[in-house]
Amino acid sequence: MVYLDMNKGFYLKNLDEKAYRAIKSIAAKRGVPVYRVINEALALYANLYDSLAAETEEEANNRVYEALVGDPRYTGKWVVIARGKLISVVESWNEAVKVLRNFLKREKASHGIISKVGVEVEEIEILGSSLEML
Amino acid sequence: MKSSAVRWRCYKYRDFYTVIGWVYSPVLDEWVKAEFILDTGFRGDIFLEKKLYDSLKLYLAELPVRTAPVAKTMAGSIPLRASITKFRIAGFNFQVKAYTPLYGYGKNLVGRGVINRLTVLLKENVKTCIKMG
Repeated sequence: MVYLDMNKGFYLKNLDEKAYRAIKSIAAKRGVPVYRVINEALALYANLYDSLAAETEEEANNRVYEALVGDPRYTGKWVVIARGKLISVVESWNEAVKVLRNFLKREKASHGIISKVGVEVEEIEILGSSLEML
Repeated sequence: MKSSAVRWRCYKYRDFYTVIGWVYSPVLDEWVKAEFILDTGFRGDIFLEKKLYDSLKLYLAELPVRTAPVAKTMAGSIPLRASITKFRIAGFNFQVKAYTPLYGYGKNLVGRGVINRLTVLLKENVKTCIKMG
């Protein structure tokens, strides 16, 4: 709950104490009042909110995949990614498919990734093919 | 005594050399039958119409954007979606990469990635035959 009076200040109920202490510590280090850091944090969140909300499930899944590339723990492994989360890391495509199917029984998704980490990008040639003739 | 007769599966020519194949949906655990044009100009495994790709729910088991290829065509580059699945034709089962265009409708094609693993006979403007596995 928030009691709002711009001149007298705010009364915020259920504020996360740990987060507040972190903010207070930042303010102390910078030598500025706590309200200034909170104002900056609120403004930053308000600015970021649109771009965070606009991220599609597909973009979120790809962002998760990008974070795995180059990490030796995942190189050569099959990964299952859905709902912007790494669901599982397995040894084969068949295992990955089973994991994905089980996940989809529990949760809905509009996009998913099953891929072997570290596979190179390829170029596919469709020269003079039926795709162009039709 | 075991017969050594070679068996072929043949498909009628219909303006193109077409074949019947089955594509697997890893999400639905189902095989779907579709007609494909045999396309020696396509270097990949199989290319699917967007509606078939979507009905198989391959977008739920897709390759990441960074590994999804771009198709180089006479008309320019086409961004593709890709998914690993299985393809069954004339008694053979292959693990394949299935592609569909990011934009547009696409066509059902069997490319050289699959053709090179088969023995195929083309009778000019009559039929396409594949040696059975």
